[in-house]
Amino acid sequence: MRVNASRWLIGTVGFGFAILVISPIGLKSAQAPSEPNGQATDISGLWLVHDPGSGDWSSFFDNVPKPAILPEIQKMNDEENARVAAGNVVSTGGRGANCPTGNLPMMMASSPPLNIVQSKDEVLIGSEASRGRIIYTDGRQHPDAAGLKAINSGDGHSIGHWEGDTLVVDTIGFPARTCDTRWPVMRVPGGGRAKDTTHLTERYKLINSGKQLSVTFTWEDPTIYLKPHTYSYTYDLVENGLPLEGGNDVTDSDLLKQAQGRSRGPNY
Amino acid sequence: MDKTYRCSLGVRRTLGFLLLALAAGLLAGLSSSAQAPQGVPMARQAPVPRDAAGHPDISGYWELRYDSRSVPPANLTQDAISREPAQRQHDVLATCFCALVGMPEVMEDGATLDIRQGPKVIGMLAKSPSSVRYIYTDGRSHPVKDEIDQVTNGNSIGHWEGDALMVDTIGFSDRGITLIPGGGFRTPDSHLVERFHLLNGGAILSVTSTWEDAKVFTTPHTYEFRYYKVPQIGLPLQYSCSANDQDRANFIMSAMKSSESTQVSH
Repeated sequence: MRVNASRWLIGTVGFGFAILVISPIGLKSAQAPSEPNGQATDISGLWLVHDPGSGDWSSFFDNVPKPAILPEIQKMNDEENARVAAGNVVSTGGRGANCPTGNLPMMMASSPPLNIVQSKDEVLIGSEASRGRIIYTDGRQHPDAAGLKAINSGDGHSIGHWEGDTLVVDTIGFPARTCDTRWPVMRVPGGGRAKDTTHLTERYKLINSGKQLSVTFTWEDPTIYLKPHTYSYTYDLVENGLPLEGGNDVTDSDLLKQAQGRSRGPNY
Repeated sequence: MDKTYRCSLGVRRTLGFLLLALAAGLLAGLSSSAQAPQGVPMARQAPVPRDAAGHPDISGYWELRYDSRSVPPANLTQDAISREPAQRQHDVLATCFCALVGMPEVMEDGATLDIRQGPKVIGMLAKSPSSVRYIYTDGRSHPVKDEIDQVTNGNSIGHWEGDALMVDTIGFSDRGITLIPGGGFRTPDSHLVERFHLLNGGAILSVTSTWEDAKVFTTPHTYEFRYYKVPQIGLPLQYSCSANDQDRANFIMSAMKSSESTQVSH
Protein backbone atom coordinates (compact mmCIF):
# COMPACT_ATOMS: atom_id res chain seq x y z
CA MET A 1 0.00 0.00 0.00
CA ARG A 2 2.82 2.33 0.89
CA VAL A 3 4.42 1.51 -2.49
CA ASN A 4 1.23 2.49 -4.37
CA ALA A 5 0.97 5.77 -2.48
CA SER A 6 4.52 6.71 -3.38
CA ARG A 7 3.81 5.95 -7.06
CA TRP A 8 0.76 8.24 -6.96
CA LEU A 9 2.91 10.87 -5.32
CA ILE A 10 5.58 10.59 -8.03
CA GLY A 11 2.94 10.73 -10.73
CA THR A 12 1.24 13.78 -9.26
CA VAL A 13 4.50 15.65 -8.78
CA GLY A 14 5.53 14.74 -12.32
CA PHE A 15 2.19 16.02 -13.62
CA GLY A 16 2.58 19.35 -11.87
CA PHE A 17 6.20 19.72 -12.92
CA ALA A 18 5.41 19.05 -16.56
CA ILE A 19 2.52 21.57 -16.52
CA LEU A 20 4.83 24.19 -15.05
CA VAL A 21 7.63 23.58 -17.53
CA ILE A 22 5.48 23.50 -20.64
CA SER A 23 3.05 26.31 -19.86
CA PRO A 24 3.95 29.89 -20.81
CA ILE A 25 4.23 30.76 -17.09
CA GLY A 26 6.94 28.15 -16.78
CA LEU A 27 8.65 29.39 -19.93
CA LYS A 28 8.61 32.96 -18.68
CA SER A 29 10.04 32.11 -15.31
CA ALA A 30 12.77 30.08 -16.94
CA GLN A 31 14.10 33.18 -18.70
CA ALA A 32 15.97 35.74 -16.68
CA PRO A 33 14.31 39.15 -16.87
CA SER A 34 17.69 40.64 -17.63
CA GLU A 35 17.75 38.88 -20.97
CA PRO A 36 15.46 40.88 -23.25
CA ASN A 37 14.77 39.15 -26.53
CA GLY A 38 17.32 36.49 -25.76
CA GLN A 39 20.20 38.98 -25.61
CA ALA A 40 21.81 39.31 -22.21
CA THR A 41 22.94 42.89 -22.71
CA ASP A 42 20.51 45.76 -23.24
CA ILE A 43 22.10 49.07 -24.23
CA SER A 44 18.76 50.91 -24.43
CA GLY A 45 18.77 54.29 -22.76
CA LEU A 46 19.67 57.93 -23.03
CA TRP A 47 23.44 58.33 -23.36
CA LEU A 48 25.46 61.53 -23.05
CA VAL A 49 28.92 61.53 -24.59
CA HIS A 50 31.54 62.10 -21.91
CA ASP A 51 33.75 65.09 -22.61
CA PRO A 52 36.99 64.97 -20.62
CA GLY A 53 37.13 68.78 -20.67
CA SER A 54 37.93 69.84 -24.18
CA GLY A 55 36.57 73.34 -23.76
CA ASP A 56 34.35 73.52 -26.82
CA TRP A 57 32.74 71.14 -29.25
CA SER A 58 35.29 71.59 -32.05
CA SER A 59 38.08 70.82 -29.64
CA PHE A 60 36.19 67.80 -28.38
CA PHE A 61 35.65 66.59 -31.95
CA ASP A 62 39.42 66.64 -32.47
CA ASN A 63 40.29 65.34 -29.00
CA VAL A 64 41.10 61.83 -30.20
CA PRO A 65 44.33 60.24 -31.43
CA LYS A 66 45.33 61.75 -34.78
CA PRO A 67 44.93 59.40 -37.73
CA ALA A 68 47.73 58.58 -40.13
CA ILE A 69 46.33 59.95 -43.39
CA LEU A 70 47.43 60.21 -47.00
CA PRO A 71 49.14 63.47 -48.04
CA GLU A 72 46.23 64.50 -50.27
CA ILE A 73 43.82 64.16 -47.34
CA GLN A 74 46.13 66.25 -45.18
CA LYS A 75 46.20 68.87 -47.96
CA MET A 76 42.39 68.86 -48.05
CA ASN A 77 42.29 69.36 -44.27
CA ASP A 78 44.75 72.24 -44.41
CA GLU A 79 42.91 74.05 -47.21
CA GLU A 80 39.48 73.68 -45.62
CA ASN A 81 40.73 74.67 -42.17
CA ALA A 82 42.32 77.79 -43.71
CA ARG A 83 39.05 78.76 -45.39
CA VAL A 84 37.11 78.33 -42.14
CA ALA A 85 39.77 80.27 -40.23
CA ALA A 86 39.30 83.08 -42.77
CA GLY A 87 35.66 83.32 -41.76
CA ASN A 88 33.91 81.02 -44.23
CA VAL A 89 32.00 79.20 -41.56
CA VAL A 90 28.64 78.89 -43.31
CA SER A 91 27.88 76.35 -45.98
CA THR A 92 26.81 78.08 -49.18
CA GLY A 93 25.81 74.95 -51.04
CA GLY A 94 22.23 74.21 -51.97
CA ARG A 95 20.45 71.61 -49.92
CA GLY A 96 18.39 69.93 -52.55
CA ALA A 97 16.43 66.76 -52.27
CA ASN A 98 19.43 64.74 -53.44
CA CYS A 99 21.60 65.85 -50.54
CA PRO A 100 22.50 63.02 -48.16
CA THR A 101 20.71 63.02 -44.82
CA GLY A 102 22.45 62.30 -41.53
CA ASN A 103 26.08 62.38 -40.46
CA LEU A 104 27.17 59.40 -38.38
CA PRO A 105 30.56 60.59 -37.08
CA MET A 106 29.15 63.96 -36.07
CA MET A 107 26.01 62.49 -34.51
CA MET A 108 27.98 60.04 -32.39
CA ALA A 109 30.15 62.90 -31.11
CA SER A 110 27.39 65.45 -30.59
CA SER A 111 26.62 66.87 -27.21
CA PRO A 112 22.86 66.12 -27.11
CA PRO A 113 22.32 62.63 -25.72
CA LEU A 114 21.78 59.67 -27.98
CA ASN A 115 18.60 57.73 -27.32
CA ILE A 116 19.11 54.01 -27.98
CA VAL A 117 16.25 51.53 -28.41
CA GLN A 118 17.44 47.93 -28.59
CA SER A 119 15.04 45.39 -30.02
CA LYS A 120 15.60 41.89 -31.32
CA ASP A 121 16.08 42.81 -34.98
CA GLU A 122 17.16 46.43 -34.90
CA VAL A 123 18.96 48.88 -32.67
CA LEU A 124 17.74 52.46 -33.17
CA ILE A 125 19.94 55.38 -32.21
CA GLY A 126 17.91 58.57 -32.14
CA SER A 127 19.48 61.96 -32.05
CA GLU A 128 18.11 65.30 -30.99
CA ALA A 129 17.62 66.81 -34.41
CA SER A 130 16.74 63.91 -36.66
CA ARG A 131 15.42 60.39 -36.62
CA GLY A 132 18.93 59.00 -36.26
CA ARG A 133 20.33 55.69 -37.44
CA ILE A 134 19.36 52.05 -37.64
CA ILE A 135 21.63 49.09 -36.87
CA TYR A 136 20.16 45.88 -38.25
CA THR A 137 20.73 42.86 -36.02
CA ASP A 138 18.40 40.51 -37.88
CA GLY A 139 21.16 38.80 -39.80
CA ARG A 140 20.76 40.70 -43.05
CA GLN A 141 23.78 41.67 -45.12
CA HIS A 142 24.73 45.03 -46.63
CA PRO A 143 22.93 45.91 -49.88
CA ASP A 144 24.80 45.80 -53.15
CA ALA A 145 26.48 48.90 -54.56
CA ALA A 146 23.29 50.19 -56.17
CA GLY A 147 21.40 49.71 -52.94
CA LEU A 148 24.03 51.54 -50.94
CA LYS A 149 23.97 54.43 -53.36
CA ALA A 150 20.17 54.63 -53.11
CA ILE A 151 20.34 54.99 -49.33
CA ASN A 152 22.30 58.22 -49.83
CA SER A 153 22.75 58.79 -46.12
CA GLY A 154 25.59 60.10 -44.03
CA ASP A 155 24.65 57.34 -41.60
CA GLY A 156 25.59 54.68 -44.15
CA HIS A 157 24.20 51.16 -43.80
CA SER A 158 24.87 49.40 -40.50
CA ILE A 159 24.57 45.73 -39.57
CA GLY A 160 25.43 44.39 -36.14
CA HIS A 161 25.89 41.17 -34.23
CA TRP A 162 26.66 40.27 -30.65
CA GLU A 163 30.00 38.82 -29.61
CA GLY A 164 29.27 37.97 -26.00
CA ASP A 165 28.38 41.25 -24.32
CA THR A 166 29.72 43.41 -27.14
CA LEU A 167 27.67 44.67 -30.05
CA VAL A 168 29.89 44.75 -33.12
CA VAL A 169 28.59 47.03 -35.87
CA ASP A 170 29.80 47.15 -39.45
CA THR A 171 28.96 50.22 -41.53
CA ILE A 172 29.58 51.07 -45.18
CA GLY A 173 27.73 53.11 -47.77
CA PHE A 174 28.71 56.62 -46.79
CA PRO A 175 28.16 59.25 -49.51
CA ALA A 176 31.10 60.24 -51.70
CA ARG A 177 30.31 63.89 -51.06
CA THR A 178 27.83 65.94 -49.07
CA CYS A 179 26.24 69.29 -49.87
CA ASP A 180 28.25 71.09 -47.19
CA THR A 181 30.63 73.44 -49.02
CA ARG A 182 32.87 73.78 -45.97
CA TRP A 183 33.67 70.08 -45.78
CA PRO A 184 32.32 68.33 -48.89
CA VAL A 185 33.76 65.02 -47.71
CA MET A 186 32.38 64.02 -44.30
CA ARG A 187 34.73 64.71 -41.43
CA VAL A 188 35.77 62.10 -38.87
CA PRO A 189 37.07 63.06 -35.39
CA GLY A 190 40.77 63.77 -35.24
CA GLY A 191 41.12 64.85 -38.86
CA GLY A 192 39.89 61.80 -40.74
CA ARG A 193 37.29 61.53 -43.45
CA ALA A 194 34.49 59.17 -44.48
CA LYS A 195 33.20 58.56 -47.99
CA ASP A 196 31.84 55.88 -50.28
CA THR A 197 34.94 53.71 -49.94
CA THR A 198 35.10 53.90 -46.15
CA HIS A 199 34.44 51.05 -43.72
CA LEU A 200 33.59 51.65 -40.07
CA THR A 201 33.62 49.07 -37.29
CA GLU A 202 32.09 49.99 -33.93
CA ARG A 203 32.18 47.99 -30.71
CA TYR A 204 29.52 48.83 -28.09
CA LYS A 205 30.02 47.58 -24.56
CA LEU A 206 28.43 48.48 -21.23
CA ILE A 207 30.95 49.30 -18.52
CA ASN A 208 30.85 50.50 -14.91
CA SER A 209 27.85 48.28 -14.03
CA GLY A 210 25.88 49.61 -16.97
CA LYS A 211 26.25 53.25 -15.99
CA GLN A 212 28.48 53.91 -18.98
CA LEU A 213 28.62 52.79 -22.57
CA SER A 214 31.97 52.45 -24.30
CA VAL A 215 32.04 52.70 -28.08
CA THR A 216 35.25 52.09 -30.00
CA PHE A 217 35.33 53.36 -33.56
CA THR A 218 37.73 52.01 -36.20
CA TRP A 219 37.75 53.69 -39.59
CA GLU A 220 39.40 52.02 -42.57
CA ASP A 221 39.85 53.32 -46.09
CA PRO A 222 43.05 52.94 -48.11
CA THR A 223 42.20 56.12 -50.02
CA ILE A 224 42.21 58.11 -46.76
CA TYR A 225 44.12 56.32 -44.01
CA LEU A 226 47.59 54.82 -43.93
CA LYS A 227 46.40 52.51 -41.16
CA PRO A 228 43.09 52.03 -39.31
CA HIS A 229 42.01 55.09 -37.32
CA THR A 230 40.77 54.03 -33.89
CA TYR A 231 39.38 56.00 -30.95
CA SER A 232 36.85 55.47 -28.19
CA TYR A 233 34.06 57.50 -26.62
CA THR A 234 32.46 56.91 -23.26
CA TYR A 235 28.80 57.78 -22.84
CA ASP A 236 27.16 58.39 -19.46
CA LEU A 237 23.68 56.99 -18.81
CA VAL A 238 21.09 59.70 -18.21
CA GLU A 239 18.68 57.80 -15.98
CA ASN A 240 15.00 58.63 -16.51
CA GLY A 241 16.08 61.33 -18.93
CA LEU A 242 13.90 62.44 -21.78
CA PRO A 243 15.10 63.15 -25.29
CA LEU A 244 15.08 66.74 -26.39
CA GLU A 245 13.93 67.86 -29.77
CA GLY A 246 16.00 70.47 -31.50
CA GLY A 247 16.89 71.36 -35.01
CA ASN A 248 14.90 72.74 -37.78
CA ASP A 249 11.54 73.77 -36.43
CA VAL A 250 12.07 76.86 -38.51
CA THR A 251 12.86 79.42 -35.92
CA ASP A 252 15.26 81.01 -38.37
CA SER A 253 13.46 84.03 -39.79
CA ASP A 254 16.17 84.52 -42.43
CA LEU A 255 15.51 81.03 -43.73
CA LEU A 256 11.83 81.79 -43.77
CA LYS A 257 12.32 85.01 -45.70
CA GLN A 258 14.57 83.31 -48.20
CA ALA A 259 12.13 80.55 -48.97
CA GLN A 260 8.94 82.47 -48.56
CA GLY A 261 9.95 85.67 -50.28
CA ARG A 262 8.36 87.83 -47.61
CA SER A 263 9.04 88.82 -44.07
CA ARG A 264 7.46 86.51 -41.56
CA GLY A 265 9.14 84.54 -38.85
CA PRO A 266 7.00 82.54 -36.46
CA ASN A 267 7.98 79.12 -35.22
CA TYR A 268 6.66 76.21 -37.19
CA MET B 1 0.41 -10.94 -9.19
CA ASP B 2 4.16 -11.23 -8.94
CA LYS B 3 6.40 -8.42 -7.78
CA THR B 4 8.06 -7.85 -11.19
CA TYR B 5 4.69 -7.39 -12.91
CA ARG B 6 3.44 -4.98 -10.20
CA CYS B 7 6.63 -2.94 -10.53
CA SER B 8 6.28 -2.74 -14.31
CA LEU B 9 2.63 -1.70 -13.91
CA GLY B 10 3.74 1.08 -11.58
CA VAL B 11 6.29 2.39 -14.07
CA ARG B 12 3.64 2.36 -16.79
CA ARG B 13 1.24 4.30 -14.58
CA THR B 14 3.92 6.89 -13.84
CA LEU B 15 4.79 7.20 -17.53
CA GLY B 16 1.10 7.52 -18.30
CA PHE B 17 0.76 10.42 -15.88
CA LEU B 18 3.77 12.12 -17.42
CA LEU B 19 2.37 11.75 -20.94
CA LEU B 20 -0.95 13.13 -19.75
CA ALA B 21 0.88 16.01 -18.16
CA LEU B 22 2.77 16.72 -21.38
CA ALA B 23 -0.44 16.81 -23.38
CA ALA B 24 -2.15 19.06 -20.82
CA GLY B 25 0.82 21.38 -20.74
CA LEU B 26 0.91 21.65 -24.51
CA LEU B 27 -2.79 22.48 -24.61
CA ALA B 28 -2.38 25.07 -21.90
CA GLY B 29 0.51 26.66 -23.77
CA LEU B 30 -1.30 26.75 -27.07
CA SER B 31 -4.50 28.20 -25.67
CA SER B 32 -2.59 30.89 -23.83
CA SER B 33 -0.41 31.94 -26.75
CA ALA B 34 -3.25 32.02 -29.28
CA GLN B 35 -5.47 34.49 -27.39
CA ALA B 36 -7.66 35.49 -30.32
CA PRO B 37 -9.17 38.95 -30.52
CA GLN B 38 -12.79 39.21 -29.46
CA GLY B 39 -15.23 37.96 -32.03
CA VAL B 40 -12.61 36.14 -34.10
CA PRO B 41 -12.69 32.34 -34.12
CA MET B 42 -9.60 31.21 -32.23
CA ALA B 43 -9.04 28.12 -34.35
CA ARG B 44 -8.13 30.34 -37.32
CA GLN B 45 -5.62 32.43 -35.41
CA ALA B 46 -1.89 31.89 -35.56
CA PRO B 47 -0.13 32.87 -32.34
CA VAL B 48 1.07 36.47 -32.28
CA PRO B 49 4.81 37.03 -31.90
CA ARG B 50 5.81 37.69 -28.32
CA ASP B 51 8.80 39.18 -26.56
CA ALA B 52 10.78 37.56 -23.76
CA ALA B 53 8.37 38.92 -21.16
CA GLY B 54 5.44 37.26 -22.92
CA HIS B 55 3.90 40.49 -24.25
CA PRO B 56 2.88 40.70 -27.91
CA ASP B 57 5.79 42.03 -29.97
CA ILE B 58 4.61 44.82 -32.26
CA SER B 59 8.04 45.20 -33.88
CA GLY B 60 8.04 45.30 -37.63
CA TYR B 61 7.44 47.35 -40.72
CA TRP B 62 3.87 48.55 -40.92
CA GLU B 63 1.96 50.30 -43.66
CA LEU B 64 -1.45 51.86 -44.04
CA ARG B 65 -3.49 50.87 -47.08
CA TYR B 66 -6.64 52.21 -48.71
CA ASP B 67 -8.84 50.28 -46.29
CA SER B 68 -6.79 51.05 -43.18
CA ARG B 69 -8.60 54.06 -41.82
CA SER B 70 -11.83 54.22 -39.86
CA VAL B 71 -12.11 57.89 -39.01
CA PRO B 72 -15.41 59.55 -38.05
CA PRO B 73 -15.70 63.34 -38.13
CA ALA B 74 -14.64 65.01 -34.91
CA ASN B 75 -17.01 67.11 -32.83
CA LEU B 76 -15.22 70.44 -32.68
CA THR B 77 -15.70 73.45 -30.49
CA GLN B 78 -16.67 76.72 -32.14
CA ASP B 79 -13.24 78.05 -31.31
CA ALA B 80 -11.57 75.11 -33.04
CA ILE B 81 -13.79 75.49 -36.10
CA SER B 82 -12.81 79.11 -36.45
CA ARG B 83 -9.13 78.37 -35.85
CA GLU B 84 -8.84 75.42 -38.18
CA PRO B 85 -8.13 77.35 -41.44
CA ALA B 86 -5.26 79.19 -39.76
CA GLN B 87 -4.00 75.92 -38.32
CA ARG B 88 -4.10 74.40 -41.78
CA GLN B 89 -1.92 77.24 -43.08
CA HIS B 90 0.42 76.69 -40.16
CA ASP B 91 0.80 73.06 -41.20
CA VAL B 92 1.45 73.96 -44.83
CA LEU B 93 4.27 76.24 -43.73
CA ALA B 94 5.62 73.55 -41.42
CA THR B 95 5.68 71.19 -44.39
CA CYS B 96 7.29 73.79 -46.58
CA PHE B 97 10.09 74.41 -44.10
CA CYS B 98 10.75 70.77 -43.26
CA ALA B 99 9.67 71.04 -39.64
CA LEU B 100 9.72 67.80 -37.67
CA VAL B 101 6.20 66.58 -38.35
CA GLY B 102 5.36 65.04 -34.96
CA MET B 103 2.15 63.33 -33.87
CA PRO B 104 -0.20 62.26 -35.31
CA GLU B 105 1.37 62.76 -38.75
CA VAL B 106 4.27 60.49 -37.82
CA MET B 107 1.76 57.61 -37.59
CA GLU B 108 0.39 58.16 -41.10
CA ASP B 109 2.93 59.87 -43.32
CA GLY B 110 2.23 57.53 -46.22
CA ALA B 111 5.44 55.53 -45.94
CA THR B 112 6.27 52.39 -44.01
CA LEU B 113 6.47 52.86 -40.25
CA ASP B 114 9.32 51.03 -38.52
CA ILE B 115 8.34 49.99 -34.98
CA ARG B 116 10.89 48.39 -32.65
CA GLN B 117 9.94 47.03 -29.25
CA GLY B 118 12.51 46.73 -26.52
CA PRO B 119 11.86 45.61 -22.95
CA LYS B 120 11.72 49.16 -21.60
CA VAL B 121 11.00 51.38 -24.56
CA ILE B 122 9.41 51.19 -27.98
CA GLY B 123 10.81 53.27 -30.85
CA MET B 124 8.99 54.32 -34.01
CA LEU B 125 10.67 55.69 -37.12
CA ALA B 126 8.85 57.38 -39.98
CA LYS B 127 10.19 58.45 -43.33
CA SER B 128 9.19 62.07 -42.83
CA PRO B 129 11.42 64.61 -41.16
CA SER B 130 10.68 63.61 -37.59
CA SER B 131 12.17 62.62 -34.30
CA VAL B 132 12.00 59.00 -33.27
CA ARG B 133 8.76 58.48 -31.35
CA TYR B 134 9.51 56.83 -28.00
CA ILE B 135 6.96 55.01 -25.86
CA TYR B 136 8.36 54.21 -22.44
CA THR B 137 7.09 50.95 -20.95
CA ASP B 138 9.42 50.85 -17.95
CA GLY B 139 6.78 51.98 -15.50
CA ARG B 140 7.76 55.63 -15.40
CA SER B 141 5.16 58.39 -15.12
CA HIS B 142 4.88 61.54 -17.18
CA PRO B 143 7.11 64.35 -15.96
CA VAL B 144 5.32 66.94 -13.88
CA LYS B 145 3.85 69.74 -15.94
CA ASP B 146 6.53 72.30 -15.04
CA GLU B 147 9.32 69.95 -16.07
CA ILE B 148 7.89 68.56 -19.27
CA ASP B 149 9.74 69.61 -22.39
CA GLN B 150 7.12 69.97 -25.09
CA VAL B 151 8.01 68.15 -28.32
CA THR B 152 6.13 67.38 -31.51
CA ASN B 153 5.66 63.72 -30.58
CA GLY B 154 4.69 64.48 -26.99
CA ASN B 155 5.69 62.37 -24.00
CA SER B 156 4.39 58.81 -24.28
CA ILE B 157 4.21 56.16 -21.57
CA GLY B 158 2.69 52.73 -22.07
CA HIS B 159 1.60 49.67 -20.16
CA TRP B 160 0.13 46.32 -21.08
CA GLU B 161 -3.47 45.41 -20.34
CA GLY B 162 -3.58 41.78 -21.38
CA ASP B 163 -2.48 41.75 -24.98
CA ALA B 164 -3.22 45.43 -25.58
CA LEU B 165 -0.60 48.14 -25.22
CA MET B 166 -2.20 51.24 -23.74
CA VAL B 167 -0.28 54.44 -24.46
CA ASP B 168 -0.86 57.79 -22.81
CA THR B 169 0.63 60.92 -24.39
CA ILE B 170 0.76 64.53 -23.25
CA GLY B 171 3.30 67.32 -23.62
CA PHE B 172 2.86 68.17 -27.28
CA SER B 173 4.43 71.27 -28.70
CA ASP B 174 2.52 73.51 -31.10
CA ARG B 175 5.04 72.88 -33.87
CA GLY B 176 5.14 70.51 -36.80
CA ILE B 177 2.03 69.17 -38.51
CA THR B 178 -0.79 69.50 -36.03
CA LEU B 179 -3.96 68.48 -37.86
CA ILE B 180 -5.73 65.39 -36.56
CA PRO B 181 -7.53 62.86 -38.77
CA GLY B 182 -11.25 63.57 -38.73
CA GLY B 183 -10.81 67.21 -37.77
CA GLY B 184 -9.22 69.36 -35.15
CA PHE B 185 -5.58 69.80 -34.25
CA ARG B 186 -3.29 69.08 -31.37
CA THR B 187 -2.26 71.75 -28.89
CA PRO B 188 0.02 71.72 -25.84
CA ASP B 189 -3.11 70.86 -23.81
CA SER B 190 -4.05 67.81 -25.87
CA HIS B 191 -4.22 64.36 -24.32
CA LEU B 192 -3.97 61.24 -26.48
CA VAL B 193 -4.76 57.67 -25.45
CA GLU B 194 -3.88 54.88 -27.90
CA ARG B 195 -4.61 51.18 -27.82
CA PHE B 196 -2.19 49.00 -29.83
CA HIS B 197 -3.43 45.50 -30.48
CA LEU B 198 -2.25 42.81 -32.87
CA LEU B 199 -4.87 41.07 -35.00
CA ASN B 200 -4.84 38.07 -37.33
CA GLY B 201 -1.89 36.41 -35.68
CA GLY B 202 0.22 39.56 -35.84
CA ALA B 203 -0.43 40.35 -39.51
CA ILE B 204 -2.40 43.49 -38.62
CA LEU B 205 -1.74 46.13 -35.99
CA SER B 206 -4.83 47.96 -34.80
CA VAL B 207 -4.23 51.37 -33.25
CA THR B 208 -7.24 53.10 -31.74
CA SER B 209 -6.58 56.75 -30.94
CA THR B 210 -8.67 58.94 -28.66
CA TRP B 211 -7.92 62.67 -28.47
CA GLU B 212 -9.15 64.92 -25.72
CA ASP B 213 -8.70 68.67 -25.61
CA ALA B 214 -11.45 70.84 -24.17
CA LYS B 215 -10.50 73.75 -26.42
CA VAL B 216 -10.70 71.65 -29.58
CA PHE B 217 -13.17 68.79 -29.10
CA THR B 218 -16.64 68.83 -27.54
CA THR B 219 -16.43 65.06 -27.06
CA PRO B 220 -13.41 62.71 -27.14
CA HIS B 221 -12.45 62.04 -30.75
CA THR B 222 -11.76 58.37 -31.48
CA TYR B 223 -10.61 56.70 -34.69
CA GLU B 224 -8.84 53.49 -35.64
CA PHE B 225 -6.00 52.74 -38.04
CA ARG B 226 -5.16 49.18 -39.05
CA TYR B 227 -1.60 48.70 -40.27
CA TYR B 228 -0.56 45.79 -42.43
CA LYS B 229 2.73 44.11 -41.65
CA VAL B 230 5.14 44.07 -44.57
CA PRO B 231 8.28 41.96 -44.98
CA GLN B 232 11.78 43.25 -44.42
CA ILE B 233 12.38 46.44 -46.35
CA GLY B 234 15.83 46.69 -47.82
CA LEU B 235 16.08 50.43 -48.09
CA PRO B 236 14.32 52.28 -45.28
CA LEU B 237 14.93 55.65 -46.87
CA GLN B 238 14.70 58.91 -45.02
CA TYR B 239 13.00 61.72 -46.88
CA SER B 240 15.59 64.36 -47.70
CA CYS B 241 13.60 67.52 -47.14
CA SER B 242 15.06 70.79 -48.32
CA ALA B 243 13.70 74.02 -46.88
CA ASN B 244 16.01 75.86 -49.28
CA ASP B 245 14.43 74.33 -52.37
CA GLN B 246 12.72 77.38 -53.86
CA ASP B 247 10.79 75.41 -56.43
CA ARG B 248 9.39 73.08 -53.78
CA ALA B 249 8.57 76.03 -51.52
CA ASN B 250 6.69 77.79 -54.32
CA PHE B 251 4.77 74.61 -55.11
CA ILE B 252 3.63 74.10 -51.53
CA MET B 253 2.89 77.75 -50.93
CA SER B 254 0.85 77.98 -54.12
CA ALA B 255 -1.34 75.21 -52.74
CA MET B 256 -1.88 77.28 -49.63
CA LYS B 257 -2.68 80.38 -51.66
CA SER B 258 -5.25 78.56 -53.75
CA SER B 259 -6.75 77.25 -50.51
CA GLU B 260 -7.02 80.85 -49.26
CA SER B 261 -8.67 82.00 -52.47
CA THR B 262 -11.07 79.08 -52.30
CA GLN B 263 -12.10 80.13 -48.82
CA VAL B 264 -12.65 83.70 -50.00
CA SER B 265 -14.88 82.57 -52.86
CA HIS B 266 -17.02 80.70 -50.38
